[in-house]
Amino acid sequence: MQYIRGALDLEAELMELRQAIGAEKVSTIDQRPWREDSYTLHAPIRVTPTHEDDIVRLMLWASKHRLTITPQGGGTKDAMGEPHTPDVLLSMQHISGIVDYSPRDLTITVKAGTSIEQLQACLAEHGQYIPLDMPHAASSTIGGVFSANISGPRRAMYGSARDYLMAARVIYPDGRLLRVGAKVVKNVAGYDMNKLFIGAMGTLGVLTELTIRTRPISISSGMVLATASIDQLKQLQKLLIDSQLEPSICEWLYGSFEQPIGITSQQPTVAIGFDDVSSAVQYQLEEAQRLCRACGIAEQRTSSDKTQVQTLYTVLGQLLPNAQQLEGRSLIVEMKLLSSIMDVSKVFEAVQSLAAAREIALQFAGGLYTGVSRVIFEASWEQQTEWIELISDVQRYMDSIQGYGIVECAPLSIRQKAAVWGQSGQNDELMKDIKRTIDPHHLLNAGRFIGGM
Amino acid sequence: MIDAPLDEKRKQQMIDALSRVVGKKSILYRYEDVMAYECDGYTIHKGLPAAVVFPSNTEEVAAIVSYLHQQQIPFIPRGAGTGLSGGATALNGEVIISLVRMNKLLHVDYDNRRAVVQPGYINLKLSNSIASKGYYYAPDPSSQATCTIGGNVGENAGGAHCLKYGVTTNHVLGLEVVLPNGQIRRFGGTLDTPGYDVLGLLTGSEGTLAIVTEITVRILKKPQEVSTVLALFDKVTDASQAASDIIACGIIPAALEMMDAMAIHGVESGNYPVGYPKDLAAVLIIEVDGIAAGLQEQIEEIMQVCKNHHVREVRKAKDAAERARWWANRKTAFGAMGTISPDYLVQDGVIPRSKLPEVLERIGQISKQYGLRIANVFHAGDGNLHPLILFDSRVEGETERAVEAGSAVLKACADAGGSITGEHGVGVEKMEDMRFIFNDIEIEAQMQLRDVFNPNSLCNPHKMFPKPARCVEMKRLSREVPAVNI
Amino acid sequence: MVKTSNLSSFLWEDAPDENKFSECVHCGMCLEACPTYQETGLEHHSPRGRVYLIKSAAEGKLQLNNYFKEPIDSCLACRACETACPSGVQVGALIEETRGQLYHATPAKGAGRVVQKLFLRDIFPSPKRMQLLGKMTRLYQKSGLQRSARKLKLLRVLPAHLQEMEAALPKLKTSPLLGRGGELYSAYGEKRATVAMITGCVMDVVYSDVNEATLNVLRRNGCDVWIPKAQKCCGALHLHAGDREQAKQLAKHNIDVFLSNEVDAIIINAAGCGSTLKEYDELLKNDVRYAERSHLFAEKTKDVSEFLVDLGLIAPKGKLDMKVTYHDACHLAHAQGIRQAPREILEMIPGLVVEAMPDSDRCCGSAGIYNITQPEMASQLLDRKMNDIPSGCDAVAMGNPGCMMQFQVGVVKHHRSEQIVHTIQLLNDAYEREDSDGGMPT
Repeated sequence: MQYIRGALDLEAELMELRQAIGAEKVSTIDQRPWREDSYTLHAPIRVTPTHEDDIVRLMLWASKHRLTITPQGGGTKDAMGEPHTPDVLLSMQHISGIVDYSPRDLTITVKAGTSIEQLQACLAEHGQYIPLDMPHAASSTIGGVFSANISGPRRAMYGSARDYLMAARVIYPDGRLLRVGAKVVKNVAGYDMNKLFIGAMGTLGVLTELTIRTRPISISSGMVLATASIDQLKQLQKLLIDSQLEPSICEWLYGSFEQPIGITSQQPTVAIGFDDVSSAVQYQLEEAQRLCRACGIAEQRTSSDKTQVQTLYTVLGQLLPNAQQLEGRSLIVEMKLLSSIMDVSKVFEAVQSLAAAREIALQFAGGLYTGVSRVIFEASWEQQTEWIELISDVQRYMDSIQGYGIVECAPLSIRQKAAVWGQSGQNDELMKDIKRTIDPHHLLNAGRFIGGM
Repeated sequence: MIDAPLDEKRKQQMIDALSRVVGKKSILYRYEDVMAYECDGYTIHKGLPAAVVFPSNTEEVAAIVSYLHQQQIPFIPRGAGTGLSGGATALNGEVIISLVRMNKLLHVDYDNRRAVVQPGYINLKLSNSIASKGYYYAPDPSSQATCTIGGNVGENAGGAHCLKYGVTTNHVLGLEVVLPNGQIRRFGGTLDTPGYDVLGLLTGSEGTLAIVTEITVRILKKPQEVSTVLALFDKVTDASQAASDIIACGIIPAALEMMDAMAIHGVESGNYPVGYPKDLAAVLIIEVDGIAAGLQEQIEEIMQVCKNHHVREVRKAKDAAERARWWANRKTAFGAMGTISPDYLVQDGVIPRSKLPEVLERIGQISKQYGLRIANVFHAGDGNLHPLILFDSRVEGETERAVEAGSAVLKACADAGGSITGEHGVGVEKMEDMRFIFNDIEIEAQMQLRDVFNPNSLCNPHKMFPKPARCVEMKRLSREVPAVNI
Repeated sequence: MVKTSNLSSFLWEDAPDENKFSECVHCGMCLEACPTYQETGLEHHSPRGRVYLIKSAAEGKLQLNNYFKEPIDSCLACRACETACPSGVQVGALIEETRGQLYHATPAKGAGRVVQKLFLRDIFPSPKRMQLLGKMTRLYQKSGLQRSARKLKLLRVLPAHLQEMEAALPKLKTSPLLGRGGELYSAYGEKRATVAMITGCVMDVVYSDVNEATLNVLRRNGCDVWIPKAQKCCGALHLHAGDREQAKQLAKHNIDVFLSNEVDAIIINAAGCGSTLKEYDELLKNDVRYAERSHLFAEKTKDVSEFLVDLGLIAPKGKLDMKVTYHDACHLAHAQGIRQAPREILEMIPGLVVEAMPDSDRCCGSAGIYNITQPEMASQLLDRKMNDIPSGCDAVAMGNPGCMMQFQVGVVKHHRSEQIVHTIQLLNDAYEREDSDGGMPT
């Protein structure tokens, strides 16, 4: 498969762009074939702006010539969404840096291409952090995390991207630069436009700057890991949900986590973590152990070593694959499964049996306080047709429990055949109207989002 | 859209048609009967609705809206009418769709920590009805004893405890709505449903995008323990520095409230006095909750911070009754202003909390400049100010002065890098003030979005956006509609 | 400069006070406290809405017609809104003043007028006629006439709610206290206070046993009790109906009577009367001759429960093995702010188990003559109230005869078995039990 248009066909247009933003920010790759086993995004033109203004000009240029653009942060989410073939890959990596940080206000303003590593390091100097599990910190960018609505196990206590974004600067496809939200923790002036761009996969505008709430790093942390049967886990979940414990994470884990957290049993394991002052962490660890025992769960390990617990958090947060690191490996498909809290166990059982029937290995992490689960299937490339069936079976199951199954990461060949975003819904038309209003010529991330938007 | 009041004949036709939907007993249209619907909690702008309809289920809402849409008659959803920005006021004789009779708690699902309510269900009733199982609903606007959850969704209501727990949008899991064309739609259900976050967009859209007919909210387990501290200060700056330092030292209290001398004077003259000393400059109410074992540590730290800022007296509530008294006093602060002034205008600006001292000083100057008393009651923890501008509408020109002073306060908040409203909404009150924080392009972008849902602006028209922005609207019209030569 | 309105629709004396309605800032905190708003969801049937209508009429935006009258009439005057109101708007007084205006602007017609005149002008103001009415009722019950009337279904000609009331009418056991014996009763044991007692009209005719209990309890607590024979109806019902003129006449008469002797307190055991008596100064505020004395009268007036707790109740030793719940009469809880005293009295009775009633301070629908004038709403409220009575109670205690009658109707209508009692009756029972047990604690 080739690019629809090669860079060579666009030489005249490219001249114009080079003049507008500087030749050094524009590079081209011509006629590079798309590989079906690829997890990464490619385009004939790559633009690396250094300033917001460059993006405005790029947008004006692209809308004039009706060229499609896909913004990219660290590229860790390249394999998410419907397959699409943009003309321009807009790299945000040089739109980077801390704009303003006010530790007393617990808010930080950063440019969209800032890496998670840089951001957290800056916050850590003041004993703060952003409690979203943002994996692959060295390469993923804050703009990417919010555009893809990344969340991890700490969502149980801290919520997700939509609970943290206070304000942003966005560039619309027609070159309009907008400020949305306000740089304060509470704001209801006008529509809550922030929400539109979270998880929108960059289909509505290019986020260039984000103002985010931060939190103080908790004084103490601890975790209980308990291996149990499914029935025991179900019982435990009920007890936990009805208790006054305030876990920061509560995940149901299954699969090959052996090395990082030492789970060896083939039974699922529940990880219950707490962040608080030490006396409260200690109390909660003991309570969690008591609840485990009440469910007949004998095998437990507890750690209140903060560094060790932080490592566990990181490991669990790293579950999402990095598209940049998958090339040449075995076939990996990651799905995000959304259900009610109490259905997580059912989801697990269904997914496990669907995979087992096809002899496909899986890793599973289900949020017992959130209903957000992730499953990673791994197998050889030979089983491609079974893969499509597996995905649609999982989606059909999720549908039957009023849930959703979204393919968050898969190679091109799989995404070409599977319904990445699940079945189309009653609201697709309205979503398309929103897209049309903001991006009438479908220039941004064309075809990548639900319903082929 | 019909912007002028309906003529008698069309009005009668409409009343007949709507009566067929809801029954004759569920529609009001006589002058005397609709008079009380002239305004909500914001009383400066008023307007008589053409009629008030009371649907009792989603289908009736859809039928009413379909009819009005077909007839191009504008309409406004209304809850309890406790809004503080005039969002439910029929400025141009719109039809009010009152949702107070859709007031049922439909379902509580403790296992999944959620509850399904109709829009007219009262906020506090939800917490009360799940309290016996140890659960509650977190957003707690001061009017929670009377305001409806549907209204809370419309305004994205906050409350004293949203510092730790977030505002309404952080607790809405799903919505059923009737779009302005009469279609019934559902959003949410699970977290992160595929597609754009329409749920987030609808929450706080002030009834300009759709009418909410069913809400699924998150319910929380009551914290194991709650501990409340009262700190009395002789200087406002000390109190606001202390508030800022408490957050800065890593504690996120459940609530952190402040009142200044004038506000204290008001609440102490009201129906729920605490008995604050008369010469007090400011009071802070600081509440922490969570695991009992950890609270003492936090309380001690909070007390220490207060002592560092020359607190006159700081103490912990000795029991639930004392805490309840402090809160009743604080939560009735707005209404209590009636005892010291015949009218008040409450503002709702938000600022970065580190700027509290300087903005409070600026508000003091504004008070002097306009010759009006201003009482400050606010959520210090999240920088959400509620300056209460006291005036007497019977005095010639004082209303106008109050409105101007209010605008000046909002300008000060905007200049400090904040927002013009944190939880009360824009409504009719702050339409013009939107310009303090948004430019024409940004306002136009929001109006474009409104048009996706509400293309003829039938649903709650003439709200939220500044009037001159209509010239943007006109420009857009002229772009779309070919010019006609006359 | 303050703009004065010449356009007001209130043309008669005692117009609603501008200072009272301008205190309302339209916050809406009162809405859910209002029983009629809870039932209807209608803004103009809420306290905020009513105050807004009154204000609009004062500004000349509304005429005093029947459409205006309807929401004013539907008010129970329970004053639950006054408890909820942050700035203490006196909604009850505003409603009474407005009813005063409506009394002139929209006089009752036809049968309504006859009934109003008969009861408010002729019967209630005259203790003699009230006593006569009581005698006739006792005769009706004792002679078998009641039985025959019920048997012959003669009562079907009455509207449903009056039938219900007839069915629930308690057996009138004793004759009114006011009509018999002397005026002076001395304290049992050591004297601690001298009090005057207001017997109330309904209380004395329908519940004279409550008055007896009250007298007994006061004497046991060391009070010399004076029951002036010249006393008349307090005027509460007249005020509710807007007949302010008659109410003022009665108020002045009672002030003259009760202040003719030096007493420590003027005791009332009916909450509805109590709140009116305590507001004589408000009623007579424009009457310079009575300004001072009406104030003194209001200050001396005490509800019996409030008085006893302040005085220091002598704990009863007799045991009552009962489970009871307590209903807050609106005019005790909301109008007089008395919630704790009756509960303290109940707590002091040995053996008595008191279980809380949910929303105990929501109006039962009695509200003076509301259950006669607004039967539909009254009956809805009564049904809700009955559902709120905790299961397994032997009795429901309260401090107002109107509520007692309404509860009595509810008990009959819902086929329930609870006794309806005045708080003081339980206390008196405990004292009597103490006597019969020979003063020995059980």
